[in-house]
Amino acid sequence: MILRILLLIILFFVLIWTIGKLFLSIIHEKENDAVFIGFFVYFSVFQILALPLIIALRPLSWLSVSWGTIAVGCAIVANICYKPFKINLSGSCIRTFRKSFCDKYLSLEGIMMLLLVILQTYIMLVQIRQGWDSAYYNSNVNTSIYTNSMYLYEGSIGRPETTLNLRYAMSSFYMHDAVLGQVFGIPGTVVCRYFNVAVCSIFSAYIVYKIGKLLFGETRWAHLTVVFWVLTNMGMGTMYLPNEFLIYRSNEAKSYCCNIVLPAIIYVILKLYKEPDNKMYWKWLFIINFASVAISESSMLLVPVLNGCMLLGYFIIEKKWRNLGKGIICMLPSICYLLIYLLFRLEIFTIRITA
Amino acid sequence: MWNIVESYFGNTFYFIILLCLLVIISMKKDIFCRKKLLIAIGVYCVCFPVLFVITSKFGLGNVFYRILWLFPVSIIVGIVSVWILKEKENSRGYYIIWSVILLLMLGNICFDTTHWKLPNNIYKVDKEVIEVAELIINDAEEETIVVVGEETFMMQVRQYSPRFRWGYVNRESMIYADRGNGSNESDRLAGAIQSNFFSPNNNIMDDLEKLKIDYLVLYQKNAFIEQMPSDTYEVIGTTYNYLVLKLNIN
Repeated sequence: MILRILLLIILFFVLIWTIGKLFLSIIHEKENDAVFIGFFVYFSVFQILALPLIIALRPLSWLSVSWGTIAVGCAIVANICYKPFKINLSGSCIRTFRKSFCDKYLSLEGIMMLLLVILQTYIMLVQIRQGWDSAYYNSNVNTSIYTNSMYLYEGSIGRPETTLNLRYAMSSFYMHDAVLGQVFGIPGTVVCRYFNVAVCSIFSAYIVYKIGKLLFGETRWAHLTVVFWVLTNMGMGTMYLPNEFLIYRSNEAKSYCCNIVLPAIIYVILKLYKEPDNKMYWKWLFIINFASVAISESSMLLVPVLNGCMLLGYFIIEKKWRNLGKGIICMLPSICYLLIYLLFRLEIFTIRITA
Repeated sequence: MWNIVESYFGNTFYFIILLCLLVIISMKKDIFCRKKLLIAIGVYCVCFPVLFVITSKFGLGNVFYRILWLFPVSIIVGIVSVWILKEKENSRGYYIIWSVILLLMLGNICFDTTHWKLPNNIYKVDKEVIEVAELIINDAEEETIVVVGEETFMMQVRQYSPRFRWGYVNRESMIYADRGNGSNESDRLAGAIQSNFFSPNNNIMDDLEKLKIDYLVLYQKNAFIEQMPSDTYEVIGTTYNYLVLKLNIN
């Protein structure tokens, strides 16, 4: 089972890199951030696929089959159409890769960073803190796989629901876990407790690295940013801080919200601050906003607020008010989700589940 | 609102650390985006109380602390640490010194042994919960098993096997359990089991029947078993802490 989880993690990163490269090729951008944007494109596409199936109360297997088809399709298309994907296993290519890896990571700071991220990931993977929220989400994924359904049963109790709980159903994150569990034959709890945790640790460290690289320029200082970020995560702890969620609750989507989505938005808007005329970063901002609720429903409120605060700084200083429309369009996905959630909360909009 | 900020920072001086870091950011003139960041922080501070009022009106007050996530404290500490070290020539010698200062300032080092031990099963569920679950699964004839028990067991059993269904009607029965004095059968049952309190006046047997419970997971030393008519249950197994009963009342 451990090997299957490891394989799953590796395949996931390869897939998001592939999707990222494909996306950047489609929009004709040469930016070398395929893993970063691929992660959000992946969840955006998954959400587009999953949400109609969830609302239509279709079985989980429909989502698994369609998602598997798309994932395999992306890999095949990428390999056929785009030369950058053709892996060259010649001696010179391997030597170039090894030299580039050594230059980048085999410095004191790089080694410290790698060791600390591995340590952090280990601590996150082995800790066994229990909580009602974790119990709800893990049980929900388990139940979805067991009953081949999506949000038709109450997560904690296992009782059939009478209406679709849009508080959770609008985010396809846990159904993503259920799909992985169903396809790879891994129990839902195990997917949540290992796959989610490992991906959160690695990807959040990657985003911090990117922020450090943007602010300081040199790889050495970017590595150190991650080093001190990890030390702070380990040294700081209250019930509500993001690092508490990172270390102890990374099986939950909330941890992805505060440790991946929000820092990713900060990173992209910092990029906009640095290159105010670069249109690509507006596209990235839109993709991240779109994927944000797919990843965590906590993003519904937080992402528009963060966008609003940081973009106001951009507009006031740069005075590029013609980009105001782009800013509003970027926030539209989260605002739409928020409106639907409020309608659900006020019981104006419900989806009944009939037997 | 201030209580939320206090709880968020856990009555530590992390809030002061964050304020100091924000002051450092505002004073560093060589950041390419200093003015924009300062405006962003200013807008956030103005919106903070407004958002509190709006979220409270929609019943989201208990999750309002998440607004404070917009300040990624760990990342800010990382960035300011690098700024401080960049000022030093031959700064590598200062890495350890600064790391020690940082960890001492923050104070909550997660290096005690509980953070290093491997879990004893891949589900990260108590071993005893798995034992009880397996006892029940081996005995059960139906696919869906309705069970009630104490909090630790109920929290974890469905993470191990989704065949189980709670006999309680909601989470709140467990979380806010009272000593068998709840207003409905679910609350009464959860309260009685959780507090290991059996009273003949509580109609526990009626509650068990109404909720259609198949199995009861009690503490080994419990107040129930002597009070329950012997023809209503069968002991199917025991573990270190628990006694597992199959009910014959449905």
